[in-house]
Amino acid sequence: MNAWMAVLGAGAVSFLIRLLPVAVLSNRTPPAWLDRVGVLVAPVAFAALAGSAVAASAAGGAGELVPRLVAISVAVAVAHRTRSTAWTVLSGMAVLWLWP
Amino acid sequence: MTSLLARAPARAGARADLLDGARAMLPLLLAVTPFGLVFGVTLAGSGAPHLAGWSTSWLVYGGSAQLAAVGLVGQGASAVVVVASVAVIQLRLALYSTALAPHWRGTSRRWRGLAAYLLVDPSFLVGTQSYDGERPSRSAHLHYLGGAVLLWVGWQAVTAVGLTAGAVVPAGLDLDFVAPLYMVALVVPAARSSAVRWAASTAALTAVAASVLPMHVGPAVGMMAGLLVGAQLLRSAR
Repeated sequence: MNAWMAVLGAGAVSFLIRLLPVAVLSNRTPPAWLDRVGVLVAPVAFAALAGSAVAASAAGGAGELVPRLVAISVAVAVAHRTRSTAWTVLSGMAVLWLWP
Repeated sequence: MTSLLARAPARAGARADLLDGARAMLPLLLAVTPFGLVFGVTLAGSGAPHLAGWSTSWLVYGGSAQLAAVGLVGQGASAVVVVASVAVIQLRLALYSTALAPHWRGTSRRWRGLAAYLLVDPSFLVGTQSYDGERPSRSAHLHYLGGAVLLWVGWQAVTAVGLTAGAVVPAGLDLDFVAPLYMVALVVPAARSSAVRWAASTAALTAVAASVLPMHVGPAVGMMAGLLVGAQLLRSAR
């Protein structure tokens, strides 16, 4: 019973967090600061998620972190040069798989 | 007959938009699959009731928050503690919702509810492509929906497989690493101004440093740090 209460409560709070900004901004003009900061949200969110995903996948310590950091650096260079999603992902995975 | 003929291309266009969105989601679905399996396996050994634990896949719908929830339920934590922990971890979704809200203005209440419910990291990633200004709004909504629904269905399935069949993806493939690489592919070409580059770099480094913090708050801390730095730089550039 407690498990279901916890799970249902967690579900309700998750939905509210997703819905509130949409509901509030759906019938009023967003404030000017939001327009300015809006351009930052996507790149900042992806960068933070990428950073914590790298940290999480290298939970085994420095031995796992180094190849991942090299793979990310190679991927950044490839993304900068080619602007191709496929080449970026493939180059990073190739570094990780071929790492001695 | 005329109206049928006129409707046919629109319907074909709608299907193409849905499929485009689903196609954009595929690599991300592949990337979150190991995480979904891990969640299922963790749930199986957590001591939390299986049906209630698996139901977080559609109720909470967010891997880190689900892991925290079933872990805490398994340890016998009170419902208040579980809900508060999930709220902290899910807080970043409010940021995504704020960013996409302007694109959903003028749509029906039912659509906004559905679109918000489906919002999570990978669907936000696809959403930024859907609403990049290249598509008319109806087409953009369908693109978002195609990606978000594929992710939702896939997530329900892989968490169930993880719970019932255990780990089936060899860990040596490191498929979870596809996700950060995919994000690099999205951030680098988009980071044209120095303010955005500094904001993104700050967010990434802070998130790495904050990964030692409890309750998976690392991404949220990284995002806040990146936004603060970026907003400051934008203000001083004006």
